[in-house]
Amino acid sequence: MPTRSQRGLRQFSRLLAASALSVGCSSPAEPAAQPPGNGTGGMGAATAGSANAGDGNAGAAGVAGALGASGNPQGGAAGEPVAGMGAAAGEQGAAGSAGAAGTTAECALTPDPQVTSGIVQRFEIELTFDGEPFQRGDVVTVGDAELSLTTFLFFLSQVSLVPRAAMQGVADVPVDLVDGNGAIEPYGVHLFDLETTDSYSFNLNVPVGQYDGMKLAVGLPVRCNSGNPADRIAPLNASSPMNWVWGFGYMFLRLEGTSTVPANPEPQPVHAHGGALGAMGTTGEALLSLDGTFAPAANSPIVLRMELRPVLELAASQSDHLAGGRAMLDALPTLDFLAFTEAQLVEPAQ
Amino acid sequence: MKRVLIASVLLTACDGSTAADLADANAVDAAPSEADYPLVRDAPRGFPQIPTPSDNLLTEAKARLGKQLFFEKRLSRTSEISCGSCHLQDKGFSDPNPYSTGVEGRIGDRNAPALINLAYTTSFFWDGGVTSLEDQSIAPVQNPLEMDLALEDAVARLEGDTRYEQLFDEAFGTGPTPGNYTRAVGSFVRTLVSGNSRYDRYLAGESAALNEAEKRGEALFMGEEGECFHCHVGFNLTNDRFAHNGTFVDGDDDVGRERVTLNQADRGRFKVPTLRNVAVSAPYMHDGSLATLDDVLAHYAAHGRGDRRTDATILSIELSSAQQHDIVAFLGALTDDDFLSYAGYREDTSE
Repeated sequence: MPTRSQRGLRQFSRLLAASALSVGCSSPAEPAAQPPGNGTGGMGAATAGSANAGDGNAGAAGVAGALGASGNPQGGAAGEPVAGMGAAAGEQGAAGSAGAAGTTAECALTPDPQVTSGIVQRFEIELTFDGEPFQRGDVVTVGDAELSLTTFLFFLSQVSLVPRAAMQGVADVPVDLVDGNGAIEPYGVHLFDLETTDSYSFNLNVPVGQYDGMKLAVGLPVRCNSGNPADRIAPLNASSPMNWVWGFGYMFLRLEGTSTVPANPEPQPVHAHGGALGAMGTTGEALLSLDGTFAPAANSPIVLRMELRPVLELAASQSDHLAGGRAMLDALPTLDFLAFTEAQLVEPAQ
Repeated sequence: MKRVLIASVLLTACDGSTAADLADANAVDAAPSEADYPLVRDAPRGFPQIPTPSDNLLTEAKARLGKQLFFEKRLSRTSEISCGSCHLQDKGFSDPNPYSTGVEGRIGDRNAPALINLAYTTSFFWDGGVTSLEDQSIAPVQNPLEMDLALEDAVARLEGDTRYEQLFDEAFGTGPTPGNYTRAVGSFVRTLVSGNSRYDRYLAGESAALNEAEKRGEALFMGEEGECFHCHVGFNLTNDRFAHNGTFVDGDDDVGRERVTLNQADRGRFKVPTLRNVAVSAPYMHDGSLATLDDVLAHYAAHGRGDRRTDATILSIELSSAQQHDIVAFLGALTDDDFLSYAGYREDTSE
């Protein structure tokens, strides 16, 4: 019978050997940490790095967390450090690929244009509450609370248009978010910021044609939700207001305000911070689909109305800002949040 | 160079002395020079090679710049504090206070973790919110409770500083940039490797390196009474995962890993830290709520604070008072004096 000490020593030595074996090469013991696909592209690597820390579905660490919880009394010892080191190797490799060329190649500052010939169509967002014009600083009533919205930001990305001929099976047309001169916005995304009225409008480079709607994401494409923010410019830089200070990746949506109820004169914070933490390896954008018939025309802005009541109601009903943010992103597609105005729903001339 | 030679001779001559003792002896007149005290060193015996990301290969120049930045107070908004203000080398680069003090006396909300062997770790902070040492280096600068300065503004303060212009140039061939700040600090932290404790020497065959109490403690640690090895496993004495060790109770603001995953099953789970140098990195737990290792062992022997989510492993711990003392003795054998006093890690105050 070996003594406990001998057993412990053997375990420790075995682990050392196992760990050493996993050095310098990706560990076959931890497939979840391997980059999917060819593993050389920043994208695949970034995904692997993300999965590493894990959401409950796909991530290695998510699964690992569950194992840890169950105690894993027998085998824990022999397998775990190998897995751990495998994860380390995978992660480091992932960080490397994503950081080097990957950061710029995969979440490119200037992505390749999806539309090479088009009309720069301007869209202007008008804020409303119960259909009435809303401005920052307005105090509105939600339930029995007086609510003031101080901060509201969200990313728009991944825009496509529904062509008139969609009924005949013609696919949606991906388009680029551009500035007024047609140059693609940094990283191909647009940040709406309640504080900056310039950000209330965005431009799309739209191929000539007729359209019946627009699809867009509130949030970032997963390729931009990883990588080193210190290597980026606004709005994805390290000090972006959308950067989680304590976490990896970006907020997709950030709402902050105060709420005052009759029973308590002291204003209470209303916070909703939503996004997909890069560490979770999920996408989690809110995919909106807007009905509206239009044909692009330069110098003829199209107005979208952004109705704030449903998001403020939702934010005020949540006590936890993270759960609230997640709930808001999940609910946004059903909230009639962003819509073409009635005036825009005009049949273009055939 | 002569000093190094003498040190080598002494090391060979007397088995018991350590390089750390000698470093201490020389500390008075030693400006830690690159040649005498390199940061980039081979991994300790029994350790895997130090992993480095492919876009930030470890070099002496990067690590030395990173060290300079680690001790740079101008990176805080008020120029009051640096990373090194709260991560003290002789405490295993941890903070002896339960919570650290940021700019203007602001108090943080978690215990500053020890910075030991993080090169081998895959996620950082108590909840694993970030997954690279480069990304990790951003948050303390920007956190309002710590240094409270936008990273871009912090790094801009170094522009035009001859010393930094030179160090950045040597490391990266550029002037100061936020991205290269992260790569330099990440590199320095990656060099903080500890693997020369008495327990390491014991494992290498030096059976007299542990005394009897420590050996009993080791057996308990690795056995089904202490249960410690389930989480504190492998060369780095951590499984690098997240566990509810009985510290969190309902009503605590800090839900731990759940903040990252938004999964309620992760409520109260926190990062399992390495136990290397644990005897000097008090206080303990994510909230710094346990002042001594005796308190920690008593906590585990009592199966934590009674939260229903506590991991089953904690609930099966059975340790008498004497056994707890033996485990504490064993944990003391994980102290690596070379690491805690290595001159190469010290702030370089020379101009």
